[in-house]
Amino acid sequence: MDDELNAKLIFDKLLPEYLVKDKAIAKKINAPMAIDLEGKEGGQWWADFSSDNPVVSRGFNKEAKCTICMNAKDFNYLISQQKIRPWLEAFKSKRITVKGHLPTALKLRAIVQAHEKQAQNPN
Amino acid sequence: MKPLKTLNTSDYFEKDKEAISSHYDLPFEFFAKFLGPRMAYSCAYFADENNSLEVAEANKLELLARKLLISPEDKVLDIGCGWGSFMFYAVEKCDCSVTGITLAQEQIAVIRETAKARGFSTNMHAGLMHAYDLAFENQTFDKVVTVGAIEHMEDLDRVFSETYRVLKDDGLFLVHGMTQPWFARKVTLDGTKTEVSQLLDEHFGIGHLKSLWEVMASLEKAGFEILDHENISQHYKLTVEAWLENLQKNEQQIVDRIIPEEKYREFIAFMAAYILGFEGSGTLCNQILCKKIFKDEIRMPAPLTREHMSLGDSNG
Repeated sequence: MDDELNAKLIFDKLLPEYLVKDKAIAKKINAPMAIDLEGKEGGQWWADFSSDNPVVSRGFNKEAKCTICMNAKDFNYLISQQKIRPWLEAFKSKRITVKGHLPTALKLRAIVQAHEKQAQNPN
Repeated sequence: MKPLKTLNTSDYFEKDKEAISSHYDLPFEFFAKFLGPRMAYSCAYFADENNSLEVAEANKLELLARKLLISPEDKVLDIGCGWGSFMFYAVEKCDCSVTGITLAQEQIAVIRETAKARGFSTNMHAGLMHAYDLAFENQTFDKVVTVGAIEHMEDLDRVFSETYRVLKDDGLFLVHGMTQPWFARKVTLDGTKTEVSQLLDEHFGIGHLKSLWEVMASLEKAGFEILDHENISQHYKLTVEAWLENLQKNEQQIVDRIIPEEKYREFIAFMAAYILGFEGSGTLCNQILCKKIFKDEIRMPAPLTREHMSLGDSNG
């Protein structure tokens, strides 16, 4: 896995590429989702995965089925983990909070898996 | 209500009891905050997607009673009876006699207390007992039901053989429980414990999700003929959605005075994960109705169609 992996790289560059390469990612999530990451390395992103042509954009002025809130440092650490347990522990201790539909928030896993898949098979 | 003889001499009894209790002996008040009023901690049945949880819960119990053709003369055994939702329903609606067994001490206390309060002193019994060793004479029961319990049972061959033994020759057996698709089950059988399986075991105390054909094979090996199968997976998705909604609605009360916030958050995370499991085909739920095949049997008359199992008039 990439040591330099971080939220900005994921949401500004990699995820838009993955969504074009693999239509199944958006299909799995199938809802508008917002990410709100606090801290110096943070930011806000919004994506409508229910759209035929999903686009990831900065800010979240539009409605989302769920908003995932956490610290960017936590996100950067967790995204590099290939395990579910660290995410669960972060959620249990409220380092991750979710506004809106919780099951949809769990589909963030599809983004993590997409990255793992691309990291293993870049082409 | 008379106490049942308890069989507790085996290693697996203590091991499974401890595992089951770690989940089910959480405060009753906690479960009461998200389950329906009958406290059925298993898949409800939505005759209509607009059914409330309360109606869907009653639908499920009615469906079980209809499938088992329960009559007032019947002696019924409920294996893994939970807080007695089916026991109370069967006694009240069918006027039969019901015995329930569980490995969670807290559940027995709740059942006994409720039965006493509601005046069910003679036709309802509950006790601590492992399904591997049913402490009943051969051919004791007319009907046996197990709802949401096979998920916790490792050796279904043994459970179903015991069920066969305690069931009368013309008896019916209904298995309601979760399974997983074969591709997922095969990973476990190949010796790999996935992280998801490990987490589920830790959360629910113990987990043995088989594939549907394994459950059916165990039933046939034990001597049962499968009469009917219904896949109720989408009903479970609706059920868990209702539970999660109730949990989130009651969050403040729960974390303020019932269970620690971390435990609450673990619960809602697993509920959400189960919704996704049922949304795809990661987790399945089934009802399997069986009859006992016995020596020199002459098939008893039985309904020729599934019409008696329809809940078309139960839209709440």
